[in-house]
Amino acid sequence: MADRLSYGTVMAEAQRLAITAMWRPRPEVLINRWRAEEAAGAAAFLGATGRHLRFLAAGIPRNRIHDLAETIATIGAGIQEIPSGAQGPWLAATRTLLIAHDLLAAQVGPELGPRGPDGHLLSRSDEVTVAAGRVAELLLTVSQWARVTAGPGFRPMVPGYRPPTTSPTNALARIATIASAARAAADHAGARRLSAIDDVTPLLGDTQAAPLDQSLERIRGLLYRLTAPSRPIPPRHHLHQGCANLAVVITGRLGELAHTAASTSNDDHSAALWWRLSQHARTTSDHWNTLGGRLSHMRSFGTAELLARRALAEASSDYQNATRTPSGGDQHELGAALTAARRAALLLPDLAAFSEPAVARLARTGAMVDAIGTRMDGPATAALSGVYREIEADCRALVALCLTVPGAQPLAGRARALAFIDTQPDLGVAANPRSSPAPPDGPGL
Amino acid sequence: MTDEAIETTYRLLDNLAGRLRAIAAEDSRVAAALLAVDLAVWELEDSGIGLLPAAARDESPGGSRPVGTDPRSILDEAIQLLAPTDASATDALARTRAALHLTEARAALDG
Repeated sequence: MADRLSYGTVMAEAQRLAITAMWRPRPEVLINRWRAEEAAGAAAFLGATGRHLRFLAAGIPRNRIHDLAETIATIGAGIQEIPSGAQGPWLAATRTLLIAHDLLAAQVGPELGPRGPDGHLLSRSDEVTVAAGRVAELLLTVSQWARVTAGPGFRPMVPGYRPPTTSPTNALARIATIASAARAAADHAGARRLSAIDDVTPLLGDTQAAPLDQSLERIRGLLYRLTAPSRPIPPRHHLHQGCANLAVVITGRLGELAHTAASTSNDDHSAALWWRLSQHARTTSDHWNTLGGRLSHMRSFGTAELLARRALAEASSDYQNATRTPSGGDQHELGAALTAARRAALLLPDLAAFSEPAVARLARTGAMVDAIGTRMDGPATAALSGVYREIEADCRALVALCLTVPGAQPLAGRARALAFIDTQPDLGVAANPRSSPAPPDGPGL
Repeated sequence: MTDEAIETTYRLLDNLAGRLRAIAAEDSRVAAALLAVDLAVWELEDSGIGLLPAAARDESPGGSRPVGTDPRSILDEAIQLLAPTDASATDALARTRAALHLTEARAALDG
């Protein structure tokens, strides 16, 4: 299966192309032309990287990322005069990096306000610093390569002669000077490798993605848009009831699959982890179902949302298809179904977080009433919001548990951010799995 | 199909959703059927059925068209799921199934 189209995958490709460009064999002849091409290509790549770092740094408090972006701007100003002729393999790296930049930039508006469900990530210092730190590491490599490629210092045959600033050697030597700023930014990012920013997908969807991925991202995008406080008329409560129902489908199936995994696991440790996930999924499913029942007794005025109805129906259908397992108990099929269920679980915190303010708004403005037409008062509205927040916490804990079980967690960067793993490391994941109750029939299979 | 029949269908679907919800957390297939029934109820309400005045109808282009879920297949699935545990629900569903001709209802509404 092809890689998902995301900021992380496109940036990884840009990084691969840049490294490929750096490892290009040095030719035996026409060395000056080769060096000119390298200098022009690396300078353009550096310019694009600087632009990207300035964008990344714009929404967070000042740190070493800003220093690096400014250093690049200063160096770039000095090498802009070199003839930007052929850029060799650097051209592909630069273009790919700019595609990643554009993919991310679509999530925010001109004033950096969020325009998509992931736009807020660009104001999260921790997530931005990790993503920018990886760019800094790449630039550190580029600087070292530039120092070697520039060759030994220029030795004039005529005493006192200085080479023009447009010379490739001069440009490469300037690029090499970003080393200390790049190292400082990379060190500042620390050892953490995963950022939720890596899992940002195109704002308008990726038609090449798996059906379930497309469905889940469509729901996220629609919910974000439909629940925006700026909408003059919010959607009716049925949207949120549908979301609650979809959450019951997702958590219910996740619980069933995790239970099967616990029952068929070969070792006690894994079985305990699966069992814990299964129990929590079922509890969360109950909570969502209770909330859905509560909403089903309400009446509301608001916009009808055909697209949202269709998206919910499709997501449910795609999820059931992706998590279907054969009756024979094939472990490979079970693993694939569990991966899909763990992927879908990442939608749950967003379902709660986006719905809560929208439902509260309906209640507060009198657009949502109970079956006999009674308006919800302040305490009742606050209580409903409280239920949503408790469910959101349940869902984040569920995502944290998804990260503990065997097998790769899809969109691990987003999962860690949703579960607050990096900001509250004592949540769920750090708990001793041995302390969990054992599965009912014992694993040992 | 008359407005009265559509109203009856709406009530029956609403009732069915309540019954499904009671056991939805126990079986993800029931949860999926509940979602489908709730979406059908939502769709009927958007078409002006239920307690909402006609002004609340979805007037957007295509707003009154089906969402791609066929209520008859939803009901068939729900009957199978509920049959072992709820005989009265099964009867109610079977009656609903017989009465439900959504295409005609849709044509009546659009007309």
